[in-house]
Amino acid sequence: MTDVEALIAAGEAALRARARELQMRSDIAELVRVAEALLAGAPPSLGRPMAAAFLFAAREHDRAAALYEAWLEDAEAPAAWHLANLAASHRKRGDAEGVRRAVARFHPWDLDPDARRTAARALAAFPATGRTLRVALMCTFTADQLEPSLRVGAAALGLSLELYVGEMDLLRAEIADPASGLYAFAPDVVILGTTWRDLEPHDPDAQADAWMGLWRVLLDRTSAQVLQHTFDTPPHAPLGHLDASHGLALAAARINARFAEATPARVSLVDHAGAVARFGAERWCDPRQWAWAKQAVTPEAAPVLVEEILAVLRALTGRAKKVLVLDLDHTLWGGVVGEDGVAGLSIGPPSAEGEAHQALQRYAKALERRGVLLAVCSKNNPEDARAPFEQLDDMVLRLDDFVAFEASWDPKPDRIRAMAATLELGLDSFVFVDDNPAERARVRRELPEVLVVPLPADPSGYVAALHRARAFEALAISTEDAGRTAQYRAESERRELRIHTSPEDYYRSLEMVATIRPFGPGDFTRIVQLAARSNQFNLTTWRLTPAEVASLAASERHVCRTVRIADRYGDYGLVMVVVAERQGDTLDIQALFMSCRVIARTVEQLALVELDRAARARGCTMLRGTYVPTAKNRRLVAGLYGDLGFECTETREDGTTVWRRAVDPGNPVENPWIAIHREE
Amino acid sequence: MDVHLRLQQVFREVFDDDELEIHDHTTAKDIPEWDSLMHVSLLVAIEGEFGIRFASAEVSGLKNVGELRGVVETKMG
Repeated sequence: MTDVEALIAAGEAALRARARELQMRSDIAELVRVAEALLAGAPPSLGRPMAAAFLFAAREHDRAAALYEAWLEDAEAPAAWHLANLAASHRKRGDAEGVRRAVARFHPWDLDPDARRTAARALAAFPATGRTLRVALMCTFTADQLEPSLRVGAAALGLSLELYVGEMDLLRAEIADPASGLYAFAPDVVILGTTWRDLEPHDPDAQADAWMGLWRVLLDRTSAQVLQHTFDTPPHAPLGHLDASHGLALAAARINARFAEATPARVSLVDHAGAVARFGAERWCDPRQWAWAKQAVTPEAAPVLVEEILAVLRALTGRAKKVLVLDLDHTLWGGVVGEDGVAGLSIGPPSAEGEAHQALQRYAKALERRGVLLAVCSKNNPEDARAPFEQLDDMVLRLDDFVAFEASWDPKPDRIRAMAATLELGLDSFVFVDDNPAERARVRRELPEVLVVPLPADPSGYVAALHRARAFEALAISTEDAGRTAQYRAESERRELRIHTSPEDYYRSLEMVATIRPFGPGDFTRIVQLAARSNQFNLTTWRLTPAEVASLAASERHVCRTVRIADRYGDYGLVMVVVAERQGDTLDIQALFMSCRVIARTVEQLALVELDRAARARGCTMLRGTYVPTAKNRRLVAGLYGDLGFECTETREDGTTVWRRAVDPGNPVENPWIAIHREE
Repeated sequence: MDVHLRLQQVFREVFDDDELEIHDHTTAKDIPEWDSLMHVSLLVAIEGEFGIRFASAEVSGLKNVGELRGVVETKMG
């Protein structure tokens, strides 16, 4: 093995360290030698960018830039440090357009602050082009470290920034003084960068009024959009847990709520508090950096804050996308409908994969509710592609949620182009989400205007990947969004109810509806999944196989039911399964299991309602239930049959108990809290 | 790897000058951009390069690059 082969085997980090070491020694000959060896011996996806990095370190900027450009044609989510090298090479070559092209490839999923600094310097080396946005940073902390990320992010949106950075101690004075540098600058955007250090624990309303007073002055004297930071909370509050009820955390929450209740159209809130929370308050500020230079945001956190500012700028400058194009197989659901059939798809719990796909559907549905258009672009037979939406209860999205539904075997770029024509929207309004890297590469190559989201292999990361693109930022929520707001309010009402009312009133308030069906082919996969996953609420822990489910469904002797639950807050889908066998005049319950998501709301009692009904219909006079103890089911269901009015008639050595309950023909069991729909 | 060369590389990156040469007697006066803000950036970059962490008081009274290198070498043990 040669030394370079060893480096290739050691991977990208080792190669990067080696290039840096040679750069420090100014060993140009060795840098070039390794670059040649990488091109000859490494796979292109690694060899090209790393050879370019070695050539960049050797100051061979023409060759480095050419190699990087060739690599970028195929690279899906290029690392920020490579892009920074490329921008720096173009800068040395005097290629302003090249710098801007490199910077446009920076993505929010790689927040490397050093790369942003290098790229911002490359941008600053050339005169601004395109639309210029004049941004005044009025912060109560040193804000200079936000500048590189702001410049890079704005350039990726096709904007040049003129920046005015106010003195941190003079924020109020500058806003008050009509002759201050702030007004001479004539800003398009004024960012009021505040932190918890500006708060007092007492009288939050007066503090909110004071900040909102500053907004009014700015709105009167400028035509700028005001971007107000929401207040974060201190990482180390002296009041401890009482801070939330008596301290700065309460003040921050109260002031943020006042801001949200009364934001004029020309004021936008920057989700500063959310950014701090997501990144971690303890890592957000380094107390030494605050002491040295009043830096309230570390270099690592600065790009995270800037992403929140850019989200508003994106909406403000009309850069938001309008259409989300979704693939189907392995994207909106697990499995391939054309091969696995509708019943073989995985969507929703209890399958972990199904949960992930359902989460993506839910995220898309939320986008749809606030006005984003959804479209399907799938390689499928049209009838296959539609069937899951029509047949599976766990699909969050329905056919009428889509403005376009393209299922065919044509190349996807063609279909998306046709969609854009039909909808009369530019391709730069489109976002494309597909699990298949080859489809993504093709759309990227043929439709460079379309934003292609790089999805991870694991579907549990789909939502995060789509979210990080921040493609659908809007300045305001439209009236159609009232529905979502109402839902949130209802959720908190439900929590209130549970705390303050009797169980009976709580059950009634949920407005539960159950749908009870015999086993149907569309549910087989789901039944097997639920049988496999239910450990706690499971009386016999019978892990039903697909074959057993099919044969039970066909059996005349068996009563097999699925129970779906919905309430006024949402649909839980298929949550309970019951299997009983007729043995003479007794109906013997062989399987009874339920998802823990619907526990403690009388859903389990429906099993008795239904079995009692089935027994009477078959002329049975006795129900018999068996409880087989396991380590996991004791706590929840050891006493279930007793609670349902059964009597224990037998206890076996292994702890298994057998229970009986007489069927009273004149007195059917009922559930007063759940409305029941039966489908035969 | 020589501490001086590594320090010099950090200086070159922070001050955006890949010809920059530093010496033990180099001070903030010799590098026009070396103000209090750049000083923090420099310290953060040095911490990253050497995997060390300065105490807040350790770096306030440094007179020149030589003293800075001294602190780094002490920290590295």
